[in-house]
Amino acid sequence: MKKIITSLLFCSIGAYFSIGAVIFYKIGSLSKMGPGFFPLALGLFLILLGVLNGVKK
Amino acid sequence: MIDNLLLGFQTVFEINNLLFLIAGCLLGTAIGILPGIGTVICLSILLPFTYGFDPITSIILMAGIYYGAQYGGSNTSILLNVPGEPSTVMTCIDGYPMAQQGRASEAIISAGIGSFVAGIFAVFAIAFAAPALSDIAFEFGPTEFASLMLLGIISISVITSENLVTGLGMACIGMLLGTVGTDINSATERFTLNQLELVDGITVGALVIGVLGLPALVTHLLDKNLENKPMEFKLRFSFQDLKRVIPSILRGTGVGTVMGVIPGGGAVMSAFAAYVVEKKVSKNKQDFGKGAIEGVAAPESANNAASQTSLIPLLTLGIPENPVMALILSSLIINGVQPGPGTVTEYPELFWGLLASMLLGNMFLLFLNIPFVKMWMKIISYPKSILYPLLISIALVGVYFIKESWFDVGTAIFFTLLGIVFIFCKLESAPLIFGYIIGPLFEENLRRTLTISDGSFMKFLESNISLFFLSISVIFILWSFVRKFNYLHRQLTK
Repeated sequence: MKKIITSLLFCSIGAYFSIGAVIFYKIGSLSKMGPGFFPLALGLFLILLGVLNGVKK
Repeated sequence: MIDNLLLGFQTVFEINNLLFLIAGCLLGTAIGILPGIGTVICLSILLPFTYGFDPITSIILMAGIYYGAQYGGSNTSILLNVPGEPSTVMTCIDGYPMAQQGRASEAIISAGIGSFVAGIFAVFAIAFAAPALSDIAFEFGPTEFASLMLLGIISISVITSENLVTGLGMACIGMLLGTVGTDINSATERFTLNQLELVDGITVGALVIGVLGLPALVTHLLDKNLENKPMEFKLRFSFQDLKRVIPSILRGTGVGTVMGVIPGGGAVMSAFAAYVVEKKVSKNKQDFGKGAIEGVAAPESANNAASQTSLIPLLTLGIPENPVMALILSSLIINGVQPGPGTVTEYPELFWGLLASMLLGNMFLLFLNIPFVKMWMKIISYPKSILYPLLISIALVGVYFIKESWFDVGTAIFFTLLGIVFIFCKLESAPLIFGYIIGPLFEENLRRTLTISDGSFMKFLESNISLFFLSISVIFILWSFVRKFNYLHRQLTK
């Protein structure tokens, strides 16, 4: 139960920020990061962590 | 050095600084004794009130609260088996059994003397290490800073959380919350929900009080353990006991001094490390957990040393290494001092004044804690149905007054709900707070590095200093997989 809530929390916060970054802000490239780059990268990483947390025993 | 210390004492003896040093020690002891309000919560409530202070006064006050709380916290751990501060968790393990055996006095006095010795030693450690480290820090560019911040984020996640995944997740949430507000590079307003109040970002005080403060106060309000009365005891101490604890105090001081400087470290982690070391090297291993005086003296010395040496990275690199330092940093910046490699030479009054204030503060705290411990413990006997609701209201009023904004009060309540979910899921909030404060700095340095290197991450491996920080980060990650469970995390969430 606790694990499911944690995973859901991580994935939804990650999704909120990464989707928001893609829709509203310029992403740019690694050498010229736009305002959306950092939130997108972190958001995706957070989703990954949420999935990892849900998968492992 | 003598000249510098004289300058420091001159600064401390200015009436304002002296008064706030005393206030910091008193307040630190009080919040140390009260379970549920730690240094982070106290400083975040206090933060709005330090705006407009002389930066020297505000750092003397805030540092005094941090090390003062290490003195106060041990008393509650020993007499009630409830940690007064997160950093005195380890003291419960042997301190409370000692109190049960009628040796509360020995425990309290050895904790007090240990803290004092460690505190004085830490001052000299800072005096020697900080100027030397500043010289190294002048060489740092954005690459080195970004790596160091990454190390801080990883180490605090590994140290405080049950596993790496949840710890990093909390740090990520913190860094994402840190992106709210105006992006410095492009002046774009990010994730502000079209609210004017969010243009400068989420107010630190509202976030900290919401995520950490109010949930902790509410939990303690509902905690039945606090209805226990503190143990009765008589003050006495023999030289035999003192002789027995001297080696433990010295070991604890050493461990604490070093652990305080490590990113992500601080009082909590150093007390834990000192206990583990002490248990390994002590001749009385079988007594540990049943009232070994060494198990009280070592972590209590360590947490006090670390609470002071953790100022070293802040004053030489400008990087806070734990949430307490992050709050001190925000207070300094608002009052016009941006700490960095030049702090020691550019602001000698601030640096040496702080050190002198620690010498005086430790003496004052020793005097305050040992003879008057019974008086202090009376704070705990106040009915908590009055005390904790009062503290909750003070916290909310404090949040309102940061910017005289109802929006911030709403923010704090929103984060309180989130904080309660975190407690339910046994998620540690420290990485979140740390990530929130370090996130924007990390983003800026990362972006600069990648702009310079034209998008290549090799730059991080080309610099020796950066490579060093990254290697330690890898060691932390590997360690988090190898260890069987996070003992510190278990103690804190028990």
